[in-house]
Amino acid sequence: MSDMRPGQIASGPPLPGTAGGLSPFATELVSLLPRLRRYAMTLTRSASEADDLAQASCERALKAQAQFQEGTRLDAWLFSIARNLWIDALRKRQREGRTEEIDAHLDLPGEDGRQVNEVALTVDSVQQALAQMPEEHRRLLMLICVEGCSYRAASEQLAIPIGTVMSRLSRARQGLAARLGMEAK
Amino acid sequence: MTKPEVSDEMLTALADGELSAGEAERLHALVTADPELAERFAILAETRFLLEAEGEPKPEAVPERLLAAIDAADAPPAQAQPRLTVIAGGAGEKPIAAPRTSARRAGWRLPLAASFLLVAGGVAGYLAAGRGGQGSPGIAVAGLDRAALSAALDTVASGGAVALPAGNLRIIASHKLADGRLCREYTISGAGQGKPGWNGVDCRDGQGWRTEFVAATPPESAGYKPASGGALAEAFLLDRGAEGPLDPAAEQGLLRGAR
Repeated sequence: MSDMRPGQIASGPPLPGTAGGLSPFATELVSLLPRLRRYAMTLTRSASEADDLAQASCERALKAQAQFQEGTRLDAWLFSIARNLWIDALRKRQREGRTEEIDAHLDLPGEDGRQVNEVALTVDSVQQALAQMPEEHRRLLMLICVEGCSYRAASEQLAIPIGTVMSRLSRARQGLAARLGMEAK
Repeated sequence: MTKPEVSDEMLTALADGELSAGEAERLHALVTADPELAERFAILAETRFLLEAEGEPKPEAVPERLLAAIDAADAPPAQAQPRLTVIAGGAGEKPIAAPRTSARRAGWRLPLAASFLLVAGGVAGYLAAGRGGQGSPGIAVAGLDRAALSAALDTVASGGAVALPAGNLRIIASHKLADGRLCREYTISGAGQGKPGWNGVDCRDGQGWRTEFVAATPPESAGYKPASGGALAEAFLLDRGAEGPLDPAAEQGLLRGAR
Protein backbone atom coordinates (compact mmCIF):
# COMPACT_ATOMS: atom_id res chain seq x y z
CA MET A 1 0.00 0.00 0.00
CA SER A 2 3.08 2.24 0.07
CA ASP A 3 2.35 3.56 -3.39
CA MET A 4 -1.06 4.84 -2.40
CA ARG A 5 -1.71 8.51 -2.50
CA PRO A 6 -3.95 10.03 0.18
CA GLY A 7 -7.57 9.50 -0.64
CA GLN A 8 -6.86 6.91 -3.29
CA ILE A 9 -9.11 3.90 -3.39
CA ALA A 10 -6.91 0.90 -2.78
CA SER A 11 -8.68 -1.27 -5.25
CA GLY A 12 -10.28 1.07 -7.70
CA PRO A 13 -9.74 4.22 -9.70
CA PRO A 14 -8.34 7.24 -7.86
CA LEU A 15 -10.70 9.73 -6.27
CA PRO A 16 -10.43 13.21 -7.68
CA GLY A 17 -9.32 15.66 -5.02
CA THR A 18 -10.60 14.88 -1.58
CA ALA A 19 -14.16 14.10 -2.59
CA GLY A 20 -15.47 12.55 0.64
CA GLY A 21 -16.38 8.97 1.20
CA LEU A 22 -16.67 6.62 4.10
CA SER A 23 -14.19 4.02 5.24
CA PRO A 24 -15.47 0.43 5.21
CA PHE A 25 -15.83 0.52 8.99
CA ALA A 26 -17.89 3.69 8.91
CA THR A 27 -19.94 2.29 6.06
CA GLU A 28 -20.84 -0.69 8.19
CA LEU A 29 -21.82 1.63 11.01
CA VAL A 30 -24.11 3.49 8.63
CA SER A 31 -25.73 0.22 7.62
CA LEU A 32 -26.36 -0.56 11.29
CA LEU A 33 -27.97 2.80 12.02
CA PRO A 34 -31.58 1.70 11.60
CA ARG A 35 -31.28 -1.12 14.11
CA LEU A 36 -29.12 0.96 16.42
CA ARG A 37 -31.70 3.75 16.42
CA ARG A 38 -34.51 1.35 17.21
CA TYR A 39 -32.47 -0.18 20.02
CA ALA A 40 -31.70 3.31 21.34
CA MET A 41 -35.39 4.19 21.11
CA THR A 42 -36.28 1.08 23.10
CA LEU A 43 -33.84 2.12 25.82
CA THR A 44 -34.59 5.82 26.01
CA ARG A 45 -38.20 6.09 24.82
CA SER A 46 -37.38 9.50 23.41
CA ALA A 47 -36.62 10.17 19.75
CA SER A 48 -34.11 12.92 20.46
CA GLU A 49 -32.32 11.02 23.23
CA ALA A 50 -32.28 7.96 21.01
CA ASP A 51 -30.55 9.80 18.21
CA ASP A 52 -28.12 11.35 20.69
CA LEU A 53 -27.32 7.87 21.95
CA ALA A 54 -26.98 6.49 18.43
CA GLN A 55 -24.66 9.30 17.46
CA ALA A 56 -22.53 8.97 20.58
CA SER A 57 -22.31 5.22 20.06
CA CYS A 58 -21.08 5.60 16.50
CA GLU A 59 -18.59 8.27 17.49
CA ARG A 60 -17.32 6.06 20.29
CA ALA A 61 -17.12 3.08 17.93
CA LEU A 62 -15.04 5.08 15.49
CA LYS A 63 -12.81 6.33 18.26
CA ALA A 64 -12.33 2.83 19.67
CA GLN A 65 -12.10 1.14 16.32
CA ALA A 66 -8.74 -0.40 17.10
CA GLN A 67 -10.41 -2.40 19.85
CA PHE A 68 -12.92 -3.98 17.53
CA GLN A 69 -11.90 -7.54 16.78
CA GLU A 70 -12.07 -8.04 13.06
CA GLY A 71 -14.16 -11.08 12.20
CA THR A 72 -16.60 -10.52 15.05
CA ARG A 73 -20.01 -9.00 14.76
CA LEU A 74 -19.96 -5.26 14.56
CA ASP A 75 -23.63 -4.99 15.44
CA ALA A 76 -23.13 -6.79 18.76
CA TRP A 77 -20.13 -4.59 19.56
CA LEU A 78 -22.00 -1.43 18.66
CA PHE A 79 -25.07 -2.38 20.71
CA SER A 80 -22.93 -3.08 23.76
CA ILE A 81 -21.25 0.30 23.32
CA ALA A 82 -24.69 1.91 23.25
CA ARG A 83 -25.76 -0.05 26.32
CA ASN A 84 -22.67 1.00 28.26
CA LEU A 85 -23.05 4.64 27.29
CA TRP A 86 -26.68 4.61 28.35
CA ILE A 87 -26.02 2.88 31.68
CA ASP A 88 -23.10 5.21 32.40
CA ALA A 89 -25.33 8.20 31.78
CA LEU A 90 -27.96 6.78 34.12
CA ARG A 91 -25.36 6.11 36.82
CA LYS A 92 -24.05 9.63 36.48
CA ARG A 93 -27.56 10.99 36.65
CA GLN A 94 -28.18 8.99 39.78
CA ARG A 95 -24.98 10.22 41.43
CA GLU A 96 -25.33 13.82 40.47
CA GLY A 97 -29.06 14.09 40.59
CA ARG A 98 -29.45 15.66 37.17
CA THR A 99 -29.91 14.51 33.63
CA GLU A 100 -26.59 14.12 31.91
CA GLU A 101 -26.26 14.29 28.19
CA ILE A 102 -24.95 11.09 26.77
CA ASP A 103 -21.39 11.85 25.97
CA ALA A 104 -19.21 9.97 23.55
CA HIS A 105 -16.18 11.41 25.28
CA LEU A 106 -16.62 9.50 28.49
CA ASP A 107 -13.51 7.51 29.28
CA LEU A 108 -12.68 4.79 26.87
CA PRO A 109 -12.45 1.33 28.40
CA GLY A 110 -9.39 0.98 30.54
CA GLU A 111 -8.72 4.69 30.83
CA ASP A 112 -10.09 4.77 34.32
CA GLY A 113 -9.25 1.21 35.18
CA ARG A 114 -12.81 -0.03 34.73
CA GLN A 115 -13.37 -3.18 32.75
CA VAL A 116 -16.12 -2.50 30.31
CA ASN A 117 -17.93 -5.54 29.07
CA GLU A 118 -18.12 -5.15 25.35
CA VAL A 119 -19.42 -8.08 23.45
CA ALA A 120 -17.37 -9.90 20.82
CA LEU A 121 -19.59 -12.33 18.98
CA THR A 122 -18.53 -14.43 16.06
CA VAL A 123 -20.55 -15.05 12.93
CA ASP A 124 -21.99 -18.25 14.35
CA SER A 125 -22.53 -17.22 17.95
CA VAL A 126 -26.24 -16.60 17.71
CA GLN A 127 -26.94 -19.62 15.52
CA GLN A 128 -24.95 -21.86 17.84
CA ALA A 129 -26.68 -20.48 20.90
CA LEU A 130 -30.06 -21.05 19.29
CA ALA A 131 -29.11 -24.61 18.37
CA GLN A 132 -28.33 -25.33 22.01
CA MET A 133 -31.68 -24.12 23.26
CA PRO A 134 -34.84 -26.11 23.76
CA GLU A 135 -36.92 -26.25 20.59
CA GLU A 136 -39.84 -24.36 22.12
CA HIS A 137 -37.55 -21.51 23.17
CA ARG A 138 -36.00 -21.32 19.75
CA ARG A 139 -39.37 -21.34 18.05
CA LEU A 140 -40.71 -18.56 20.21
CA LEU A 141 -37.61 -16.42 19.71
CA MET A 142 -37.88 -16.77 15.94
CA LEU A 143 -41.58 -16.04 15.95
CA ILE A 144 -41.41 -12.94 18.11
CA CYS A 145 -37.98 -11.48 17.50
CA VAL A 146 -37.29 -12.44 13.90
CA GLU A 147 -40.74 -12.63 12.40
CA GLY A 148 -42.02 -9.77 14.55
CA CYS A 149 -45.11 -11.51 15.88
CA SER A 150 -46.99 -9.88 18.74
CA TYR A 151 -47.39 -11.81 21.99
CA ARG A 152 -51.08 -12.24 21.25
CA ALA A 153 -50.48 -13.53 17.74
CA ALA A 154 -47.81 -15.93 19.03
CA SER A 155 -50.15 -17.15 21.76
CA GLU A 156 -52.82 -17.90 19.17
CA GLN A 157 -50.43 -19.49 16.72
CA LEU A 158 -48.85 -21.76 19.32
CA ALA A 159 -52.12 -22.29 21.19
CA ILE A 160 -50.63 -21.36 24.54
CA PRO A 161 -51.75 -18.69 27.03
CA ILE A 162 -50.14 -15.25 26.78
CA GLY A 163 -48.72 -15.71 30.27
CA THR A 164 -46.84 -18.75 29.00
CA VAL A 165 -45.59 -16.80 26.02
CA MET A 166 -44.22 -14.15 28.33
CA SER A 167 -42.54 -16.47 30.80
CA ARG A 168 -41.12 -18.74 28.14
CA LEU A 169 -39.91 -15.82 26.05
CA SER A 170 -38.16 -14.05 28.89
CA ARG A 171 -36.45 -17.29 29.91
CA ALA A 172 -35.40 -17.81 26.29
CA ARG A 173 -34.02 -14.28 26.02
CA GLN A 174 -32.20 -14.63 29.31
CA GLY A 175 -30.85 -17.98 28.16
CA LEU A 176 -29.62 -16.47 24.92
CA ALA A 177 -27.95 -13.61 26.75
CA ALA A 178 -26.19 -16.03 29.06
CA ARG A 179 -24.99 -18.21 26.18
CA LEU A 180 -23.68 -15.15 24.38
CA GLY A 181 -21.78 -14.03 27.44
CA MET A 182 -23.79 -10.87 27.87
CA GLU A 183 -24.02 -10.18 31.54
CA ALA A 184 -24.50 -7.23 33.80
CA LYS A 185 -21.30 -5.60 35.02
CA MET B 1 -38.18 -0.83 52.65
CA THR B 2 -37.30 -3.30 49.99
CA LYS B 3 -37.62 -2.36 46.36
CA PRO B 4 -40.37 -4.18 44.49
CA GLU B 5 -38.83 -6.80 42.28
CA VAL B 6 -39.30 -6.25 38.58
CA SER B 7 -39.55 -9.51 36.68
CA ASP B 8 -37.70 -10.40 33.52
CA GLU B 9 -41.12 -10.91 31.95
CA MET B 10 -42.09 -7.31 32.53
CA LEU B 11 -38.75 -6.06 31.27
CA THR B 12 -39.03 -8.22 28.16
CA ALA B 13 -42.56 -7.02 27.54
CA LEU B 14 -41.36 -3.44 27.90
CA ALA B 15 -38.54 -4.10 25.42
CA ASP B 16 -40.97 -5.68 22.96
CA GLY B 17 -43.49 -2.83 23.13
CA GLU B 18 -46.13 -5.09 24.60
CA LEU B 19 -47.11 -2.93 27.58
CA SER B 20 -49.78 -0.28 27.49
CA ALA B 21 -48.53 3.30 27.23
CA GLY B 22 -49.18 3.96 30.91
CA GLU B 23 -47.58 0.73 32.12
CA ALA B 24 -44.62 1.33 29.87
CA GLU B 25 -44.03 4.85 31.15
CA ARG B 26 -44.23 3.76 34.76
CA LEU B 27 -41.92 0.80 34.30
CA HIS B 28 -39.47 2.83 32.24
CA ALA B 29 -39.29 5.42 35.00
CA LEU B 30 -38.36 2.68 37.46
CA VAL B 31 -35.79 1.32 35.05
CA THR B 32 -34.03 4.61 34.44
CA ALA B 33 -33.87 5.31 38.16
CA ASP B 34 -32.03 2.05 38.85
CA PRO B 35 -28.91 1.33 36.78
CA GLU B 36 -28.85 -2.37 37.68
CA LEU B 37 -32.43 -2.75 36.55
CA ALA B 38 -31.59 -0.71 33.48
CA GLU B 39 -28.80 -3.08 32.56
CA ARG B 40 -31.06 -6.14 32.90
CA PHE B 41 -33.56 -4.37 30.68
CA ALA B 42 -30.98 -3.35 28.12
CA ILE B 43 -29.61 -6.88 27.83
CA LEU B 44 -33.07 -8.36 27.31
CA ALA B 45 -33.77 -5.73 24.64
CA GLU B 46 -30.40 -6.29 23.04
CA THR B 47 -31.06 -9.99 22.47
CA ARG B 48 -34.05 -9.04 20.39
CA PHE B 49 -32.03 -6.73 18.20
CA LEU B 50 -29.28 -9.31 17.79
CA LEU B 51 -31.85 -11.87 16.67
CA GLU B 52 -33.26 -9.44 14.12
CA ALA B 53 -30.14 -9.93 12.05
CA GLU B 54 -31.29 -13.50 11.40
CA GLY B 55 -34.15 -12.15 9.33
CA GLU B 56 -34.32 -10.34 6.03
CA PRO B 57 -32.98 -6.82 5.93
CA LYS B 58 -35.22 -4.05 4.74
CA PRO B 59 -34.36 -0.45 3.95
CA GLU B 60 -35.19 2.12 6.62
CA ALA B 61 -34.82 5.87 6.60
CA VAL B 62 -32.23 7.54 8.82
CA PRO B 63 -31.77 11.23 9.51
CA GLU B 64 -28.94 12.96 7.74
CA ARG B 65 -27.64 14.31 11.01
CA LEU B 66 -26.42 10.85 12.02
CA LEU B 67 -24.80 10.25 8.64
CA ALA B 68 -23.05 13.59 8.88
CA ALA B 69 -21.82 12.77 12.37
CA ILE B 70 -20.37 9.45 11.25
CA ASP B 71 -18.75 11.10 8.26
CA ALA B 72 -17.24 13.78 10.49
CA ALA B 73 -15.89 11.25 12.96
CA ASP B 74 -14.52 9.04 10.24
CA ALA B 75 -11.13 10.56 9.56
CA PRO B 76 -9.86 9.72 6.07
CA PRO B 77 -6.47 8.00 5.81
CA ALA B 78 -4.79 11.21 4.64
CA GLN B 79 -5.54 12.90 7.93
CA ALA B 80 -4.63 10.05 10.25
CA GLN B 81 -2.06 11.35 12.67
CA PRO B 82 0.98 9.18 13.20
CA ARG B 83 1.66 8.42 16.83
CA LEU B 84 4.78 10.07 18.01
CA THR B 85 6.90 8.79 20.80
CA VAL B 86 9.25 11.45 22.04
CA ILE B 87 12.29 10.31 23.93
CA ALA B 88 13.31 13.12 26.17
CA GLY B 89 16.87 13.86 27.13
CA GLY B 90 20.08 12.95 25.42
CA ALA B 91 21.56 14.88 22.53
CA GLY B 92 18.17 15.88 21.35
CA GLU B 93 14.62 14.73 21.44
CA LYS B 94 14.02 12.10 18.87
CA PRO B 95 10.50 11.66 17.64
CA ILE B 96 9.64 8.19 16.46
CA ALA B 97 6.67 8.08 14.18
CA ALA B 98 4.62 4.92 14.48
CA PRO B 99 1.86 5.43 11.98
CA ARG B 100 -1.27 3.41 12.46
CA THR B 101 -1.84 1.59 9.25
CA SER B 102 -5.05 -0.28 9.69
CA ALA B 103 -5.95 -2.63 6.92
CA ARG B 104 -9.47 -1.36 7.23
CA ARG B 105 -8.52 2.22 6.63
CA ALA B 106 -6.47 1.35 3.59
CA GLY B 107 -9.59 0.05 1.91
CA TRP B 108 -11.82 1.66 -0.61
CA ARG B 109 -14.00 4.67 -0.20
CA LEU B 110 -17.26 5.03 -2.02
CA PRO B 111 -18.31 8.63 -2.18
CA LEU B 112 -21.31 9.84 -0.22
CA ALA B 113 -24.28 10.87 -2.23
CA ALA B 114 -25.79 14.31 -2.09
CA SER B 115 -28.26 12.97 0.43
CA PHE B 116 -29.07 9.65 2.04
CA LEU B 117 -32.67 8.70 2.20
CA LEU B 118 -32.58 5.03 2.89
CA VAL B 119 -30.12 2.80 4.63
CA ALA B 120 -30.11 -0.94 4.30
CA GLY B 121 -31.31 -2.23 7.64
CA GLY B 122 -29.09 -4.29 9.80
CA VAL B 123 -26.53 -5.81 7.50
CA ALA B 124 -23.44 -4.69 5.74
CA GLY B 125 -23.99 -2.32 2.91
CA TYR B 126 -25.50 1.04 2.45
CA LEU B 127 -27.37 2.68 -0.27
CA ALA B 128 -27.62 6.22 -1.33
CA ALA B 129 -30.45 7.88 -3.14
CA GLY B 130 -30.42 11.36 -4.53
CA ARG B 131 -33.36 13.61 -3.91
CA GLY B 132 -34.55 12.38 -7.25
CA GLY B 133 -37.05 13.75 -9.66
CA GLN B 134 -36.63 15.58 -12.92
CA GLY B 135 -33.64 17.83 -13.14
CA SER B 136 -32.03 16.69 -9.93
CA PRO B 137 -28.24 16.51 -10.01
CA GLY B 138 -28.16 12.83 -9.08
CA ILE B 139 -25.30 11.06 -7.38
CA ALA B 140 -21.76 11.64 -8.51
CA VAL B 141 -19.76 8.47 -8.14
CA ALA B 142 -16.15 9.52 -8.11
CA GLY B 143 -13.83 7.71 -10.45
CA LEU B 144 -16.68 6.60 -12.65
CA ASP B 145 -16.48 7.68 -16.25
CA ARG B 146 -19.88 9.28 -16.64
CA ALA B 147 -19.68 9.46 -20.41
CA ALA B 148 -18.74 5.81 -20.77
CA LEU B 149 -21.55 4.68 -18.49
CA SER B 150 -24.08 6.86 -20.27
CA ALA B 151 -23.00 5.58 -23.66
CA ALA B 152 -23.38 2.00 -22.50
CA LEU B 153 -26.78 2.68 -20.97
CA ASP B 154 -27.94 4.22 -24.24
CA THR B 155 -27.09 1.21 -26.32
CA VAL B 156 -26.54 -2.06 -24.48
CA ALA B 157 -29.57 -4.30 -24.05
CA SER B 158 -30.35 -5.69 -20.62
CA GLY B 159 -28.39 -8.80 -19.86
CA GLY B 160 -25.40 -7.39 -21.69
CA ALA B 161 -22.05 -6.43 -20.24
CA VAL B 162 -19.40 -3.85 -21.03
CA ALA B 163 -15.95 -3.28 -19.59
CA LEU B 164 -15.61 0.20 -18.13
CA PRO B 165 -12.54 1.75 -16.52
CA ALA B 166 -14.32 1.48 -13.15
CA GLY B 167 -15.04 -2.20 -13.64
CA ASN B 168 -17.35 -4.51 -15.48
CA LEU B 169 -20.77 -3.07 -16.15
CA ARG B 170 -23.60 -5.54 -16.37
CA ILE B 171 -27.02 -4.16 -17.19
CA ILE B 172 -29.81 -5.99 -15.43
CA ALA B 173 -33.09 -4.46 -16.49
CA SER B 174 -34.89 -1.35 -17.70
CA HIS B 175 -37.84 0.22 -15.96
CA LYS B 176 -40.20 3.04 -16.64
CA LEU B 177 -40.97 5.30 -13.70
CA ALA B 178 -44.30 6.84 -12.83
CA ASP B 179 -42.92 10.18 -14.05
CA GLY B 180 -42.19 8.65 -17.44
CA ARG B 181 -38.42 8.48 -17.19
CA LEU B 182 -36.50 5.45 -18.33
CA CYS B 183 -34.30 3.91 -15.65
CA ARG B 184 -31.81 1.10 -15.93
CA GLU B 185 -30.55 -1.18 -13.20
CA TYR B 186 -26.98 -2.36 -13.39
CA THR B 187 -24.06 -3.67 -11.44
CA ILE B 188 -20.48 -2.53 -11.63
CA SER B 189 -18.06 -5.07 -10.30
CA GLY B 190 -14.49 -4.15 -9.61
CA ALA B 191 -12.02 -5.71 -11.94
CA GLY B 192 -9.77 -7.99 -9.94
CA GLN B 193 -9.81 -9.79 -6.65
CA GLY B 194 -11.65 -8.32 -3.75
CA LYS B 195 -12.51 -5.10 -5.48
CA PRO B 196 -15.92 -4.02 -4.32
CA GLY B 197 -18.67 -3.19 -6.68
CA TRP B 198 -22.09 -1.76 -6.46
CA ASN B 199 -25.63 -1.88 -7.77
CA GLY B 200 -26.80 1.27 -9.46
CA VAL B 201 -29.89 2.72 -11.03
CA ASP B 202 -29.52 5.49 -13.57
CA CYS B 203 -32.45 7.42 -14.99
CA ARG B 204 -32.55 9.37 -18.21
CA ASP B 205 -34.18 12.73 -18.73
CA GLY B 206 -33.67 15.62 -21.11
CA GLN B 207 -30.15 16.17 -19.80
CA GLY B 208 -29.11 12.57 -20.14
CA TRP B 209 -28.39 9.82 -17.63
CA ARG B 210 -28.07 10.49 -13.93
CA THR B 211 -27.26 8.08 -11.14
CA GLU B 212 -30.22 8.07 -8.82
CA PHE B 213 -29.39 5.11 -6.66
CA VAL B 214 -26.31 3.29 -5.48
CA ALA B 215 -26.08 0.29 -3.22
CA ALA B 216 -22.60 -0.63 -2.16
CA THR B 217 -21.45 -3.69 -0.34
CA PRO B 218 -18.31 -3.10 1.71
CA PRO B 219 -15.51 -5.62 1.62
CA GLU B 220 -16.54 -8.94 3.05
CA SER B 221 -16.99 -8.80 6.78
CA ALA B 222 -17.96 -11.55 9.14
CA GLY B 223 -21.35 -12.10 10.56
CA TYR B 224 -23.57 -10.60 7.94
CA LYS B 225 -25.89 -11.80 5.33
CA PRO B 226 -25.17 -9.16 2.72
CA ALA B 227 -28.18 -7.09 1.78
CA SER B 228 -28.86 -7.85 -1.84
CA GLY B 229 -28.11 -4.69 -3.77
CA GLY B 230 -30.55 -5.89 -6.35
CA ALA B 231 -33.34 -6.20 -3.80
CA LEU B 232 -32.64 -2.69 -2.57
CA ALA B 233 -32.59 -1.37 -6.13
CA GLU B 234 -35.98 -2.99 -6.68
CA ALA B 235 -37.33 -1.35 -3.55
CA PHE B 236 -36.05 2.01 -4.76
CA LEU B 237 -37.64 1.54 -8.17
CA LEU B 238 -40.97 0.40 -6.75
CA ASP B 239 -40.97 3.44 -4.55
CA ARG B 240 -40.62 5.59 -7.67
CA GLY B 241 -43.55 3.91 -9.34
CA ALA B 242 -41.79 1.45 -11.62
CA GLU B 243 -44.02 -1.43 -12.55
CA GLY B 244 -41.49 -4.10 -13.34
CA PRO B 245 -38.76 -4.75 -15.88
CA LEU B 246 -39.51 -3.83 -19.47
CA ASP B 247 -39.51 -6.57 -22.06
CA PRO B 248 -36.76 -6.42 -24.69
CA ALA B 249 -38.98 -4.87 -27.38
CA ALA B 250 -40.26 -2.11 -25.11
CA GLU B 251 -36.73 -1.52 -23.88
CA GLN B 252 -35.33 -1.18 -27.37
CA GLY B 253 -38.12 1.18 -28.31
CA LEU B 254 -37.37 3.48 -25.39
CA LEU B 255 -33.61 3.31 -25.83
CA ARG B 256 -33.90 4.32 -29.43
CA GLY B 257 -36.48 6.98 -28.65
CA ALA B 258 -35.92 10.68 -28.19
CA ARG B 259 -32.98 11.41 -25.92
